[in-house]
Amino acid sequence: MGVLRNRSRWVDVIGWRVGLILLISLVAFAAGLFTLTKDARDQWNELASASRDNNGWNVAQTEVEFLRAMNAVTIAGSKENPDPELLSEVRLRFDVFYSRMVTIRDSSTLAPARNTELSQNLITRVLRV
Amino acid sequence: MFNRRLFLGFVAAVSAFGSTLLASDEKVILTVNGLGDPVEFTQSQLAEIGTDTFETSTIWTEGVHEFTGVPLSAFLASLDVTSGMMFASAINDYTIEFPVEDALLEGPMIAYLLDGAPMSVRDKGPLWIVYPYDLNPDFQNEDAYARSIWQLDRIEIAQ
Repeated sequence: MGVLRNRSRWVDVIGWRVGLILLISLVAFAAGLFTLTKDARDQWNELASASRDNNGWNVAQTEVEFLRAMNAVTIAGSKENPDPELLSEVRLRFDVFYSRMVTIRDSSTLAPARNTELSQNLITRVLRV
Repeated sequence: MFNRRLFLGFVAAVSAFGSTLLASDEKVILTVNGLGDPVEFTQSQLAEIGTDTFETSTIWTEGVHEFTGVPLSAFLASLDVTSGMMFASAINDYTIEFPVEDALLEGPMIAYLLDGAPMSVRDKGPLWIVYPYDLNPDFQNEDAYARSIWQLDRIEIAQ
């Protein structure tokens, strides 16, 4: 009887320890799972709702449109009496460039591009036309 | 009486002729290629296909604006386009690829009015493919942004 009573006490002790270990493991597992799913959820949200367009491309494209406008001015300016078509081309290319500058001025995602005094001045000078 | 009828008839004839002249004077703002002969559209011809209006902000403009235009799905349906790829090009030759399958879904619109007025090139006109970004978070993604082409003036369909 005494041996049995001792054994059951040992089982109690082991059971309690195993239970504790199981509980800690479970909590750790749950915490790990939560962190992983939160990370995955954050990434999912980031991918699902993009707050930015391709900023670098937008700024580079503005320069491309500026050069196209300058090119049209150079071509029209090289003629004594430029065709109305050449002058329309100058206006069109300038308007495309102008719309790019408006985008840099207004776009929420392009705010970093207008952070400097230089860019502010450029935007103001172009959009005054 | 006879004179009055003649006069009214004359007025009707003149006004009909005038409106035809005005209609033919309207500028072509969109050309569609890839479906046999090029198909040209003026703003009123686009409006005849179907009109939709929504208010939304965009990531390229400040504040909320009202866009009016023809739903892209209605536009493609009017051309009997149901599959393939759509290539939409802007004045500066920038071109986007738009699977027709996606273009037929509800959302994208070829806008020709911004806050009730035609869009100049400086305002990203004459046409701008826009989504109701504010209405549905599904439209706030890179795909929708990339397909939101402005200064649109021609579309090529590859079926």
